[in-house]
Amino acid sequence: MPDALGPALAAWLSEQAGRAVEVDGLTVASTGARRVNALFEARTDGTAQRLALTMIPTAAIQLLDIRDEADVRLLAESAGVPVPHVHHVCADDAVLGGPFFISTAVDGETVPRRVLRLAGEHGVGERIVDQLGDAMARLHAIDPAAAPATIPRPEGSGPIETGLIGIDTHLELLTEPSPVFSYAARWLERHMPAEPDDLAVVHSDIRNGNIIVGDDGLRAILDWEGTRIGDPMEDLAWPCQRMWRFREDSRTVGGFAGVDVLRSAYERAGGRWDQQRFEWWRVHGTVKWGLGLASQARAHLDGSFRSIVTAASGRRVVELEYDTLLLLRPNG
Amino acid sequence: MTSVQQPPTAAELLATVVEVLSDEVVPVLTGPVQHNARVAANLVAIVERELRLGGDAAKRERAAIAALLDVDVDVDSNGTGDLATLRARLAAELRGGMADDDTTNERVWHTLMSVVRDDLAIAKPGHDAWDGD
Repeated sequence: MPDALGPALAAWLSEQAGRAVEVDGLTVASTGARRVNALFEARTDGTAQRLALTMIPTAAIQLLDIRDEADVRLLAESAGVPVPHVHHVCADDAVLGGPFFISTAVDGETVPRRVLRLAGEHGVGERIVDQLGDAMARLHAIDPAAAPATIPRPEGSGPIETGLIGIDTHLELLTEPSPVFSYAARWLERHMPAEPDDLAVVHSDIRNGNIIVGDDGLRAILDWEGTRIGDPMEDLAWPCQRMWRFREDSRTVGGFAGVDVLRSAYERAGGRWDQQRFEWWRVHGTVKWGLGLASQARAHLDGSFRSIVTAASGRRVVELEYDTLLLLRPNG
Repeated sequence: MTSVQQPPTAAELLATVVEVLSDEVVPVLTGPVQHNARVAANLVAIVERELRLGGDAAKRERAAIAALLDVDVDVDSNGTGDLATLRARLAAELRGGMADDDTTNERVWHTLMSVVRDDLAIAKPGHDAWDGD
């Protein structure tokens, strides 16, 4: 992140506020291929506010227009989902070098292993899963018509069919075919449940790693750029993947607690649980993530995102093949 | 790929590189560079295991897939070309419904599991210690 960022940010904030705003202690919290997250303090007339800057390196790689992502966050917040409040959004690349928004900085832990340690020390693992189930029910209760018109919607007959098409599309892209994922794709095709009666706004990546946790439990759900209209059960299945348990394998939901806790919280808050679709999306998500790791390795090899971490992703595909087979064990 | 060189072997050299990276380099680094060095050490360890275990694993996979597809292959061949072809063919057959009946399904599942366990022994030993879900 260039040194000029602080002054540029201060100038823009001052313009928005109509008075001088100072930016103090700007520090980069994380830098990924898709996002830069930084924390800072904004000072005006002796008052200070801790804020978070989320910037996309260039508008060209946005999954969702930054203004729509900000709208989705505000919509979720108004439904009672814990989301850091968005104060400002700017789609103009010229201000900081990429589109960005500014939200309240929420204290707490986000690094998955540290999140699990914190949850263990304070005995809040079940509480976190309970809060996740509650938050998902609130998110899924939002009328999809209230969401920005540009957010992706399922094709064909619905999210189940769209999900299967996505798997087959990515299978075709594999450099080295995967008999396990082809076997799983056939399973997904033969076990397709009925499409859900009601579609919902789904976040699509709620899991340990995209949440802020404190000693009192869940504080915020982050990373809303994958929001789309889909099957609510997809959101519930995703944090149950073994990949997001970070070695706490026996606690299915994010390494925190069992599925029963997630389900009862979801239903208590008015969500409708469908076990058949839940199981289908668990298999789907595991295969999808395996195929996603393979595509990261391709991005490394073709030079579009060269990094030792994405190179290593290629050798992690087999972990997801194993996890997929566990879910498809015959007679069990 | 084998040429006659004075010891250490390629695998032994890589094992030594892992020791240096893990014990000497990673501890003195910080932040993203330390993370990358840790990943590098892990990748070198994977290649070291692949050099030791990969040949036998490929032979087992070739024999297992050939048995499922009911084709004759020279399982002692060291070529991986025919393994890639066999794997592609198995993948296509599975997507097409080869394992739809319960008996074949069970046989295929166990074969795929044994191949995956061989791959895990190279890429992530211990990942298969958990067999719940």
